[in-house]
Amino acid sequence: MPCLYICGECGAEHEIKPKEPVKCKDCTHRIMYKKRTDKMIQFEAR
Amino acid sequence: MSQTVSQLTRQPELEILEIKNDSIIFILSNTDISVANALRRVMIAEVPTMCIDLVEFESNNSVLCDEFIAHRLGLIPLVSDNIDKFCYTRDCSCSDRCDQCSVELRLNVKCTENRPRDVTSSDLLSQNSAVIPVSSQVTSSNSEQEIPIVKLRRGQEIKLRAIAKKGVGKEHAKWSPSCVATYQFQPIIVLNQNRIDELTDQQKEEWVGSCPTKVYSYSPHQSTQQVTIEDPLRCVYCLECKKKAESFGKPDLVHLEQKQDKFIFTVESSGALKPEDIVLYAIQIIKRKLTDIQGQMAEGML
Ligand code: SF4
Ligand SMILES: [Zn+2]
Ligand SMILES: [Zn+2]
Repeated sequence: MPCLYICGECGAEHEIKPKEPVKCKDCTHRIMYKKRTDKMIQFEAR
Repeated sequence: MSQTVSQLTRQPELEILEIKNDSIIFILSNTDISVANALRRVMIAEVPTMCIDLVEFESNNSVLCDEFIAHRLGLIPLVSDNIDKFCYTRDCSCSDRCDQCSVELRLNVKCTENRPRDVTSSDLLSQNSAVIPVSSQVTSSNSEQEIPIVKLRRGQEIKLRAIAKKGVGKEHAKWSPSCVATYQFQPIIVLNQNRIDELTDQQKEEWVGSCPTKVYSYSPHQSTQQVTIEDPLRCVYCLECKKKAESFGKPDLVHLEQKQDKFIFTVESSGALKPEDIVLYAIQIIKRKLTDIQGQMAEGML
């Protein structure tokens, strides 16, 4: 499953592969956010 | 050697001074400081309650991160009046968890309006109508008592499943049923009125003001002009009044003493248990510990 990142500027989703620059392929913005998993996550309430 | 056991054993007494919804004040007498302290510590750390212990997030795009919200949920006191019906998950016969050892609560809120939405403890829906956040009890339905969890803006959503388990305060403080559990010795304060009469009005006022907890009262405008003891129980034995009296050259103006064989307990409940139940459970737990030791001793001597 590819790992998709969201651009902090234009909101586009892109895949970034290992060794690739962290950069939006549409607008060249360099801040990319990792998507939250859609799996359930469990925490201890402590 | 002529004393029998029954002559040596004392009969501890407990006198209740006041019971309120969330606090109890009682006097324990005829016993040792070790017993009083054991009772205090058991009330804080070993009386079990129910508390949220696991949180399973499905979605959360609020400003607070998952860990933060999970921690806040854990600290919400849950009504634990039927705690006896639950068992600890580690002792339970089930493999993971079941209705006997846990209660499931759900939180599912989405903000669709333009103004911020407060998510509070009353949004937590429990599967067991007896184990609910303390603020959701019918007796306290005013919104001031609700415990805030997080605020949502338009489009933000929080959806989770929380699992409450039985536990004790020594594992994590969230399980402690008492907010305050303290005892104090009975203070004996005796004023020497003759010495007080020797003081000027200004000195009297200064002396009464020297007590940080306002044990004494003095009203110069009243005809009586008396220095009186308002509430001896407020005394914290800082001895400021004694020092002040000495600075006036009258060390025998006041006599202060702690009566070491009477313990005045104040216990405040978090709301999880009734304050009187905290005391009763604690006594039960101490008794059970002693019986356990007795059994082990008997076994060891065989
Ligand atoms: S010992 Fe301290 S608290 Fe107690 S009466 Fe004196 S000044 Fe007040
Ligand atoms: Zn972009
Ligand atoms: Zn179980």
